[in-house]
Amino acid sequence: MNNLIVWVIGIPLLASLLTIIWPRRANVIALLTALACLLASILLTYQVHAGGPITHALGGWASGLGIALRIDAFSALLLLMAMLVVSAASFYANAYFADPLKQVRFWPLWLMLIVAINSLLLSGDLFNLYVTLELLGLSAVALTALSDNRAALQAAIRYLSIGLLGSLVFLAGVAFIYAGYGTLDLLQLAELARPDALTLVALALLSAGLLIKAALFPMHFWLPAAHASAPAPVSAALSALVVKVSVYILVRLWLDVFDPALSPAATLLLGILGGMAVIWGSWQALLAQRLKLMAAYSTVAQLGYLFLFLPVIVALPAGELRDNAFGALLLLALTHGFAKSALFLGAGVIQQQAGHDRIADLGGTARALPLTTFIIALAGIALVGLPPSGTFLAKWQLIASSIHSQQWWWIPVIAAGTLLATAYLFRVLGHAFGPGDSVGKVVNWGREEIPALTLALFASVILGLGSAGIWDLIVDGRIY
Amino acid sequence: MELFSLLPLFILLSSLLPGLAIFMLKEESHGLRTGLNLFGAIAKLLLVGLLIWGVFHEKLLELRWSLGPGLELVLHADALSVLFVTLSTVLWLVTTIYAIGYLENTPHRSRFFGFFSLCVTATVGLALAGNLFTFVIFYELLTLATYPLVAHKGSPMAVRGARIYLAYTLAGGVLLLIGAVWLQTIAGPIDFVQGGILSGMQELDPWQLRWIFLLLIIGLGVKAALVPLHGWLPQAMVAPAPVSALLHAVAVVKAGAFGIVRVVYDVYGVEFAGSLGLLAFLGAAASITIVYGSVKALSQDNLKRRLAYSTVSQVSYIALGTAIVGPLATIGGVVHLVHQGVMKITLFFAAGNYAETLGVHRVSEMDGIGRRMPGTTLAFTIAALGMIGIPPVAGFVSKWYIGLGAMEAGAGWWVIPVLLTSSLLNAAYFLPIVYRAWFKPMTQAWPEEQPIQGRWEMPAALLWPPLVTASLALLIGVFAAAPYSPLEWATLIASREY
Amino acid sequence: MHELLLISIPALPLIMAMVSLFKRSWLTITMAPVVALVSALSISVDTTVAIPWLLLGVHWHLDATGQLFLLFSALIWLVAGWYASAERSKPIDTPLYHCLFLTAMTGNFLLIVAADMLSFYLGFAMMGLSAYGLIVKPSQQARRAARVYLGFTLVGELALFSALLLIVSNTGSVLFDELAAVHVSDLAMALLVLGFGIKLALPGLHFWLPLSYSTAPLISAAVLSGPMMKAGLLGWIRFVPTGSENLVDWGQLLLVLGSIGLLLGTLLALLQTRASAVLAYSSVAKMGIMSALFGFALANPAHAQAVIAALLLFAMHHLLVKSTLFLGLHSYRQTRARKAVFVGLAILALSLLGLPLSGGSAAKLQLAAATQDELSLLLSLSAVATTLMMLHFLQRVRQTKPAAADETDASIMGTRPWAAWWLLLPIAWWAPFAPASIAFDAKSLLLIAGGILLFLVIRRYQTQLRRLPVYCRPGDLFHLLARIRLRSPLRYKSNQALLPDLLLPEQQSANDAKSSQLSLTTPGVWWFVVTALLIAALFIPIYL
Repeated sequence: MNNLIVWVIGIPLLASLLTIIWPRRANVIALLTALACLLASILLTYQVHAGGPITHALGGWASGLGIALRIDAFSALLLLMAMLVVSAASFYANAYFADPLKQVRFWPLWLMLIVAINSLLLSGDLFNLYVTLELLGLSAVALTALSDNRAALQAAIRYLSIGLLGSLVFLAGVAFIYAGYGTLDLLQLAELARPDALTLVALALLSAGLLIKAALFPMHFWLPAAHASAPAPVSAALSALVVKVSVYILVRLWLDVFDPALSPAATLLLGILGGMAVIWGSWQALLAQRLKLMAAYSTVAQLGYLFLFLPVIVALPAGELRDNAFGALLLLALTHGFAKSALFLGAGVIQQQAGHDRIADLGGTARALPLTTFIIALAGIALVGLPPSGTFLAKWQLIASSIHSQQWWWIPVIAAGTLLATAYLFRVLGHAFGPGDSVGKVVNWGREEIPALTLALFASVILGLGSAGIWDLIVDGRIY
Repeated sequence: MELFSLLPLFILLSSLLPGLAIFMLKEESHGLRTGLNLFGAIAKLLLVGLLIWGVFHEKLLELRWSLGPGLELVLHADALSVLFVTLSTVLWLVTTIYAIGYLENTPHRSRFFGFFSLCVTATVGLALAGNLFTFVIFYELLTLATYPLVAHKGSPMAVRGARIYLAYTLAGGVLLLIGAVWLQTIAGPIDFVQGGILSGMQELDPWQLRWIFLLLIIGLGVKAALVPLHGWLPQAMVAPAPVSALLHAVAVVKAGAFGIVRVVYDVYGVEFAGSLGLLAFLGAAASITIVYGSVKALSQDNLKRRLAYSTVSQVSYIALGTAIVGPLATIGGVVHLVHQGVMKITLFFAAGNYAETLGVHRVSEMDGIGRRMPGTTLAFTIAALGMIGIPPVAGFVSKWYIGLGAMEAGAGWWVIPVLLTSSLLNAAYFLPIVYRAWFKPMTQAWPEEQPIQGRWEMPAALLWPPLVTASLALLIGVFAAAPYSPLEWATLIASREY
Repeated sequence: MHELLLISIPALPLIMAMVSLFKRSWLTITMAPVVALVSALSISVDTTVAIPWLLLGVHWHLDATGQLFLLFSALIWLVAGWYASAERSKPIDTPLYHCLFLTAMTGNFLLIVAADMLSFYLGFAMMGLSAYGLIVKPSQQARRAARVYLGFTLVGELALFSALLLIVSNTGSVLFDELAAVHVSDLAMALLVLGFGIKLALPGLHFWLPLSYSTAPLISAAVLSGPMMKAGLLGWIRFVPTGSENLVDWGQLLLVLGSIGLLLGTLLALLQTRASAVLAYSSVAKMGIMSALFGFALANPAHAQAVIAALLLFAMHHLLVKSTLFLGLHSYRQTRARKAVFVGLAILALSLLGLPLSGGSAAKLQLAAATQDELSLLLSLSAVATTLMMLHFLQRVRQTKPAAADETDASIMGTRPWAAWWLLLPIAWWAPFAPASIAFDAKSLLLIAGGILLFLVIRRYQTQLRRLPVYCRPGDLFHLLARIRLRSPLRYKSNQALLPDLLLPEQQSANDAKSSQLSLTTPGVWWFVVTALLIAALFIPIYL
């Protein structure tokens, strides 16, 4: 069953071509594809759980020459989350795009996005990572441009140029590494890595490229506009997945591959930037006038938390403490993926029904769209980090790890971020529960709301109560 | 007895499931909603009866579910939790009946009762939490479930009150979280153990423990309305009367107080906490709160605000009893959990009735109200007398034991003056109300009088709950020494803690 | 059977109190005192009941002292209740009055039968607080009087509560039987003096008494001045262990305080114009002498037993006579047969001032014997003072106007209370039934004669005190104290925001607009800065 890895990439690739050929049934194809990928990712995760990490050399070439696909606990869980989000978003999108023309343009790009995400998560070497990153960026830009207004187009162009800049710098880093080590395979690099000047310059370049794509403060400037102006399902995927896979690469490179070359100072720098992102992003989210913009800024803040983990994890001794912290990082990433996508999907419903998403004019939403409001509340709970969401557990571990590594100064940052997050979430809810009639009649928009609700439940309840499995998986399922 | 150990879970589910089901109901299906509510409340009552039996016979009632390394969800029933669970369950039943009557013909009832059930679920979960981690989870859930209830009316005032409530409690929640995590990193998982888990760990740095205690108490003190963390409570009184009743008597305020009891007794261990010098701090905070709350209550004309400040003062008796080392003070503090709840809920029911039937919100409008609404006013009077500490109403019993405990611990020189000052102040703000209600003639027309329908002064669903709770307050005072009374149960707790 | 009767003593009035809320009649209000009376006469002394599950575990007990108190108190409650049931005017003829009358009775009976301190405290508190409702009337003055009463009562309760805590934490038991002088510390003693001293109207703690007696309905004043006031004395007898050398200093203090009370009460009584106020201040004086006697008992442990026994008789006599006087005053105001009532009042007054062959004289002789003439000066002074006060009282009664015409209507004012009063009169005259010591006492006759002479002299030189100075009106110094009014900082405040609305900034965020127009230069610069920092940070360990 090793071929499952290939299928996860191959099915959506094939489907994407099919939708171009057969546009009238594009939605059916895409939905089936998403479900198939979901199934495959479940099976893959199970295999990782049962038998440890899996490597698949594409075409049978030895690693170093051909394309190596690898999956371990880290990527398997992210893949599973991504496929869940993508499936839910696909169902949502099927209802969301009423215009058949839009659908025709949407599905192929959407499937390409899936291909890019999956192949990125499964890539085992640096060059592949570069290629998939590029593919991801391009399909994301095209999807952003789908909402055909001027602002969206502007944002898309900016997104494109920024993405290209980041990719190029990343590519330069790849080149340095190849020059220094003669291989791009991550496993081999992990064995060879040494802290010399070349490695450090290369690592800096790779990171600099990724940091732009991961929208770490202060390089987040492109994100709010792009995420807020894209169509709702696209925003969901962008915020939940596209940014996150960049963080995934960064974490993988820093913690797994070039671990010996790391200096505490560098991780501290990222941690500080992460902390600033938490505060700044949350503050901007609080000030935001529109729901989707608020969600986008909240992404900036939530990504900041992921960076907070870096200095902490590095300072911890390898073993149980480090695994705990790493599991929390993963849990936070997963929960945020579910929560943010649910939030964007919910915001999309409101935008469609009310014709706008201005927070101050949301009065009466709770009455007219009870389920959507519930979804936003659930997603918000996960974003804030209130129990029983996964974020709560992750924050608990993050605070514990900060104390263990004696970096107590992160605690006020986490506390402040949490409180600000509460403020922006309940600002929205306060308006939604307030009097008003932004939405005319009581609506139950099941085709859109049920996928969103599923995601929200994953974020706020299921991940929280079932998170023990993540740590189990990490202990016996990590490659590097 | 495998099934028996699942009892705590069933108790949680008995309000959680009806709550979730109610969310799904249509606004118009009143009968079904009422049925679900009452079914849940009564089922919970029966289950709690079973629980009391189990705990009394020292059955192990524990449920564990791992959420990650060192993070275990533990539901555990011990004597202390049974006390709180019973209180919440009984008062929930009464409040549900009251709320059904109170909210008749108002919108959004499905939403209200859904969150209402969630609120009780969180409270009961809090009571049954077997470790600090679980406690923190339910503590936060309680905040969340209560927010929509406070904001229920949707008016700008209500939204504002709810917002302030949230700001305070979540900030407190974060501090509690930090304290809990810190404690867990230095001492491992913190299970609630009678006698305190930390008292056995002598190797820990006492200064760290002191800081952690401070964090925990501030975090819990927000909900318990310790001065200066009490600011949200008077604002939150904009909530509908049943919510205020539940908030002040069972759910939120009491959760904070219960947490303080847990932390002092079952985490630190009261003697260990005393040896670290922490209880003096707690006692000072509680004393200041007791006096300050009463002084503030004096100057409130709005009845519910006056009651809110009275809660600020009264709940700190629990903290005060906790802060004194010695079984008698423990009994006083713990039993006041119950006594204050029963009395305060009566007062809020009565305040709700005045507002609902006559539109009376202010103390200055209450002249002669006893003649128009004798039943309600009788209940109010009994509870008010209890609050002052007049025997044989329940409040006296708590004061008596706290006072005796203070004497026993040699802390009488500061505790008794606090008790006396507070009693005098309580009298000074409660008795004028009683006087106006009974002895002053009615001077002006009621602001918004509803016509009397039927034979009672108001609908039975509104009249009976305060009467029942007032009788309860009287009965648990009069039969304080009877078996299975709250006092006896508190004595059992104290005997297990020392 | 005896136990059951004992339980019924406090239980029955409580039940009746509840019943009277719904249905009130002469039966509900008099049934309880009748049963108490029967019990007092029929229960064998030292019957004990312990109910461990009630309250914090109660112990009830009827000893000789309790029997005495119960007998006389029940009698007054009975007649006063009888009066109340016949009354048709507003504050009395309400369910509230009847209910509180009965709860006060409950408290009174409970504290009499209490063998443990908590039951006593419970009874004392119930009685004290219920009495508020007996005093209050719609008039401004009465409300103020009731408020002052309540304030003093609450302070008394709390003092007693604290004393209880001190004593119980020393003794480890709540039973009076296990109390010994070592257990009562000075602080506890001070609190006891304060707590019961308020009820007994020690000088300085007495302000509430004239205020409330002179404004309350006379029926209420009757029970207040009789059974309720004597409860304070019972409190001392129960709580303060006599016969020990430890409390001699306290005895001296009480002796002095009591004597001051006697003088003060007499002086102020003579200045009063209203009959009820005269009676009120005469109570202050009488309780002063009783406090002094109790102090004497403490100061002389050897004689304590005898003195207290005599004091009890004296107190019972006063209980009955004073209450009957108040009831008579009530009748006097409401009836057409004023002359007859006046004669009755005069007879009572004579008994009070200890005319030979009266109960008062008997009590005084007993006292003189018990104190072994060590207090003869004080007792003589008391006799003269009483004479003065009673004469003044009778004089003021003559000038009391009848109640409004509609209230005197014979059809409303039935004959029932009348009959009861006339029945009570001889009992009060003979109370406390100590025939053994009834003797013809020349000395007292002499003192009375002296008193009459003094009264005539005073009257002769008495200028017309049309307007009393404010500090001589009922409540005396309190009026001055009340003028020192602190400007209260506690005003009703409007709802103030506790948190600024910072949490929800609604102002236009510049950010929304800006972010879409931001050029790439600034972020680009940022990016380079971060990259440079990153490289530097990565290289740090190499160059360090």
